[in-house]
Amino acid sequence: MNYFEMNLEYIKNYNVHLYNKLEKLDINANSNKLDSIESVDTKDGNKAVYISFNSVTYRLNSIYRPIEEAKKWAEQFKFTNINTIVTMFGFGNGIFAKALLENMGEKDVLLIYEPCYEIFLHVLHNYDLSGLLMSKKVFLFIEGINDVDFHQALNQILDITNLKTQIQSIYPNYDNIFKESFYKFYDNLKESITTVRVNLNTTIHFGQRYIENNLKNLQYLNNSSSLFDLKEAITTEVPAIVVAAGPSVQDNIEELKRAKGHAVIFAVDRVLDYLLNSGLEPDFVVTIDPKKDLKYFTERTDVTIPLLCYMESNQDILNIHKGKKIICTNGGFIDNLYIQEKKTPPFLIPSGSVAIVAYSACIKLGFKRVILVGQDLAYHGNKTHVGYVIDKNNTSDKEQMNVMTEGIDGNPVKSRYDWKEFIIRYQDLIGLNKDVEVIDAKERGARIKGAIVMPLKEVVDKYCTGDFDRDAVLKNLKTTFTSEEIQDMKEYLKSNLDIIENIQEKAKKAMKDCDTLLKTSKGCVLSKKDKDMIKRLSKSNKYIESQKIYSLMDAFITAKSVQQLSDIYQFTDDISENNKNTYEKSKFIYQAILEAADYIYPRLENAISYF
Amino acid sequence: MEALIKKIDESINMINKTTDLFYQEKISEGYNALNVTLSMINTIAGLLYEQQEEEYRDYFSKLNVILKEAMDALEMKDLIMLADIFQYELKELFEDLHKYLKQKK
Repeated sequence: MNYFEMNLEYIKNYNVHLYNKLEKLDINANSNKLDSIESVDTKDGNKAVYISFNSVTYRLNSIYRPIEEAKKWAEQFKFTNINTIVTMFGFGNGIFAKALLENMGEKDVLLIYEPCYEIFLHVLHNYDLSGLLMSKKVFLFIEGINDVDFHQALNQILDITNLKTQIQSIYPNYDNIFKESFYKFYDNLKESITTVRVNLNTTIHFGQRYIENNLKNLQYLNNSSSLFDLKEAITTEVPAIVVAAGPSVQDNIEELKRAKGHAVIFAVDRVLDYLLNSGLEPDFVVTIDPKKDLKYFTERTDVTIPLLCYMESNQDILNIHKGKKIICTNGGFIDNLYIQEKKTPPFLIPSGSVAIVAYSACIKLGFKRVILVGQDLAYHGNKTHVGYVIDKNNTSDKEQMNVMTEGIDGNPVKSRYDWKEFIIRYQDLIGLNKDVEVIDAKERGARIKGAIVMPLKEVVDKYCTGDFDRDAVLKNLKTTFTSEEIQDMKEYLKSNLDIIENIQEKAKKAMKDCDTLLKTSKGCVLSKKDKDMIKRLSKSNKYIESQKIYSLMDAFITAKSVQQLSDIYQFTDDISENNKNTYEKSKFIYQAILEAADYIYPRLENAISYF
Repeated sequence: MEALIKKIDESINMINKTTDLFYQEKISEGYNALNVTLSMINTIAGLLYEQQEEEYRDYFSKLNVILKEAMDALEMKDLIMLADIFQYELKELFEDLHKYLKQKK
């Protein structure tokens, strides 16, 4: 077997996603085309890569001792922390990545972005990459092959515990050679870091409310349907229209009325009353925000339009809504309720934008054409939402929240930092769902790459030609749980009260152990008693984190102990100091766990009484 | 001779420091260290030139050849090549010279 066959085999066995994409590769789509590439022997018997790009020749390794060069380069990065995320722009022939990998800890992760497919192909043919391709710590992204996954992977891996300790590295000179790709890579990195920070702030903001809503809304599982039930009942022969609350909705209201009955109209909560006041009833309404003010849903008390929601959506909205609830989940405890009754949880990737969640729901339901209305994602003068609501917050003090972004006509438009996040998220989702046509039906506002810009009149003329009867869908819509299953669920919820009591016990004991360890373990050498205590703490951690109810507590705990969590894996060279810091932080986090358990218990009891 | 041995020791340390900086792409610091290193090398070259024995002349010639290669690399802004020449040619020469001088003592 030659290197190429061997390396492909490793990719097939350890990274099947990349392997599948390699098979479908269009080599002409490669944006960084080289003039030439070759590997030459170095003085110590290894190989160095030479490339010619844009008529300039570059040597990518030392011609003397490339492995020593890489080791020296890697020494500048310190790996004293745990769970470190390392990003690297440039794979080259893998020697520098290998040098990093040798210094990395067990739980560290290396994400490598190679901007030039030809280099990767050359290296696949000429180098043994087993050490990297077989490593569970290494994730490879090649531009033109799976580069869209880089942003997604970062968003999944980055969290509060590793945000501060991440290491960013660049293969020597790669940033000069592949400048444009480097800017794109760096933008991706910045965006992901911003997304994690925004999500973290959201978690902190919603900590307690998240628990309250989830538990209070449990009562609505009875008689609810899930997104999967809706998928079985709904037709996707007509397009889906997602109506957000941007100012441009006003310009499109008549066309939306024309589309009614010929498309499936999903309205975000904020635009509901505007549509109803304009004489248009959407087919579905979507709400996600745990704390959304009722006035941003409706002032009416008789809304029966089916409501797509999460269990953590605002309980006040679910309470005032009188129609069918169509449940989506996003993991954790609520998913487990479905699994307990042998149902597939109706998982729908969450987002900070209700319109994006509505769009994701359309994808999940199987629509192949989704039309976005009211997704301005830019200011229209000082207006942010339909109904000409002036954004009172947009004073000069808040100018720092504003950013410029590309408009649909190619000129810059004024947007907001959170809207810009949404634009990026749309672009990611559009990139991941290439079989779905997305039409952005607006005549002004921010550009969403991947979406076709088309006036709504043209869209309705061309695509809204079939028929859709929402009431017929509702007639055929199944209820997810039978009454027996609801009773089963009640028993399961009761058993979780015992689990919470166990968690309270363990958290209290863990805090006492931390206090003891702080007093007794002064040096680097631990006594047998100390070691037993640490083992007990580890067991307690495993128990607590493995309980499904823990996912409900997570936001609360994060909110209470964000500082401790963000530092928990940071270490110095002083072992004694590290131990002291770990026990102090751990004690704080156990306190937060105890408070979360104390908070949940009575609310779970109350929720059970609704069944 | 003592002065020469001492200068060689200092130079080897500076070579290590300079090459590490270039390998780690710390260019500005690398250039600063390079200035100091070149100054030391200059001193060593001067001390070698003053000696009468054939062996010293030999080292002097070899030093010049290596320095020329290094300066070519510097002119091409190939700092990795420069670092390699310093690390694997120049340092080797100095270590050899150091050994020779110790034996002569």
